[in-house]
Amino acid sequence: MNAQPYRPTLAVWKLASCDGCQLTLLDCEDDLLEIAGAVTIAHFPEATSNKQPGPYDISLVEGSVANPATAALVQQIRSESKVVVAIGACATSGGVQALRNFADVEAYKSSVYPYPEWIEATPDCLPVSSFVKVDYELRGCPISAKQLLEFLRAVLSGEKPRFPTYSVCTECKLRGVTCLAVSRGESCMGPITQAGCGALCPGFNRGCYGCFGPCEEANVEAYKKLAGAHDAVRRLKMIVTNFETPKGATQ
Amino acid sequence: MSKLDFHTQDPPILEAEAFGTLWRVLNDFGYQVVGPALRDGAIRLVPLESADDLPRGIRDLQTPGNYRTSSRDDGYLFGYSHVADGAKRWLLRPRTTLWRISRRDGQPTIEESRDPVPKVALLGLRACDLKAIEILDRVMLRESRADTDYAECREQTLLIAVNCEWPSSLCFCESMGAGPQATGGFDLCLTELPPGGDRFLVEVGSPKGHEILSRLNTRPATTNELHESKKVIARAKGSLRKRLETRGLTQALYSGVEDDHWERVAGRCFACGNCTFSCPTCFCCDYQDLGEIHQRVWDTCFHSEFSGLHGGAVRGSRASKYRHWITHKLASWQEQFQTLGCVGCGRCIAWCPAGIDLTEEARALVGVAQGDTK
Repeated sequence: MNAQPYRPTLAVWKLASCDGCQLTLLDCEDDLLEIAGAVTIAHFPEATSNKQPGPYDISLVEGSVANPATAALVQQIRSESKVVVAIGACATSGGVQALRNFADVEAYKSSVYPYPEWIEATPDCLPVSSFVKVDYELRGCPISAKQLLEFLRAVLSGEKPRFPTYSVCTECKLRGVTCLAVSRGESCMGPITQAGCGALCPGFNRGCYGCFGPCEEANVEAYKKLAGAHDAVRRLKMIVTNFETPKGATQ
Repeated sequence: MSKLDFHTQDPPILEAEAFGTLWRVLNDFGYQVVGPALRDGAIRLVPLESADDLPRGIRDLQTPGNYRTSSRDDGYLFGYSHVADGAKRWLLRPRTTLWRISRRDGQPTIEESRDPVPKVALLGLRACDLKAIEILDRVMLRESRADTDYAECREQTLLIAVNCEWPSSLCFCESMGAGPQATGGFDLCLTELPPGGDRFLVEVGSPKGHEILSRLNTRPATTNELHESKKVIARAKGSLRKRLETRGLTQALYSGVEDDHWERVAGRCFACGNCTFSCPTCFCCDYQDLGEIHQRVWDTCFHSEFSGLHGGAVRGSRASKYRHWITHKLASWQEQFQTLGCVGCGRCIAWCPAGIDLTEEARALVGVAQGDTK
């Protein structure tokens, strides 16, 4: 065979984020080499200074839109990409920095920075989907490497990627993790959190803290009863503020 | 003693030391011993190195949505109700590869490629666990469509029951005709005599069981010991507090399809599926293609995808999911498999994070059917 098969171009972008999701991709190690063999990595500043101009077949976008610059970048990414994939809690629902949506950003700026006037922060910190059409969302803080690899494999082979809509409980039961809510009275958020992490935290004897966001039909009222008033409020703040910023909370 | 004689003999006694040699004997027969041990706060069915791994002097306490263990002041090795996860995990494996597809000489080729099936002796099964296996057999080994992996796991597994002496407050095996005494379906069945840990009465249930027993050092039971074994089982029976009234239940479930009671259950239910995963008879699996491998994976009727068709799920609401599960388990299962799907182990009640009690829900539905005011 003389003709080289076409290799789709992959771009990896960063908005307001900690880089942890991009690092998850780099941490794939051997599997990363396989991905690199199947695609042309055209833009991935975290990994290489070699940047190729668009258009791109697949863009993985990490981070939330927090200022005018990221708002402009997200438009550019959309216009240059066939498939836009939001990766991680920041890109899919705002992330930890979205806590400011429930406070006064000007007050935050003055208490954190010596020259607040230099900071161009929008009042709200929002997910990518508040600005452009997103084709797929990979949840988690950070994303699961396994889910990312399975997603890329499916997309590259023309299959419809599978995303669970059920809760973390299924993953605990498949793995054989003893239920922390039932056996220890832990305020585990597993019953209302979307699966995909492979029951990572419960597997290490820690209750789920909801980083994959709410699952389909999450029964929050039942969770309040499970966790008890105090713990429920503390934990629900995590799932509501960090990982479920109301879309379009800004004008 | 010929192979056919084993039923007619008085069951002998296995003392502590000889019980300890069970591991070596089973290993000689090629079996890995899988039995109860305390793991992460629950008594689980796990590989055991020796009798020292058994949960000596430990009991379990179960209430709806709650499971705890505590110590008891005696030497019972099997002094708990039953293991938190039943035998299902070892027979109907949670995730197993069935086949793999590859390209050979340019042609797609499908090859059977199953995960190795371990040869295990499941130790400590209760009567309810045996009944559950009998039900699973009916489902998974139906003549025209037997599941290959289940069949092989079953073939490779030796069943060593231990009669239940310590039902939990959630057990209702008697009303399901499943216990507490093991009456068949085992290779060997032990009864632990008081004060626990030093004498076991051994019954044989199969030629294989007989072969294994003949390698163990036993002595004849005294009349008193035979009497004691009956007494401990009677005591277990007497301690069962919970019941599921099955009379009129099928009709109540069928006629209550539109009842608003389901919405009340749905208010408490997470649709997490923990009841089905903990249930020793729930058998539903999904078949998934992950690249070149084809896997069978535990599924549950509480997932929306379970009833997913073009355009959405047939049962998308928690109310319809719960109704489907309990109606299948306690009514239509009968028509499908000539038995109900419940053995009264109470696992679905204990391991439900919301503590939903299927016996209470069934009772409420029967009440609705009989015109009780709500």
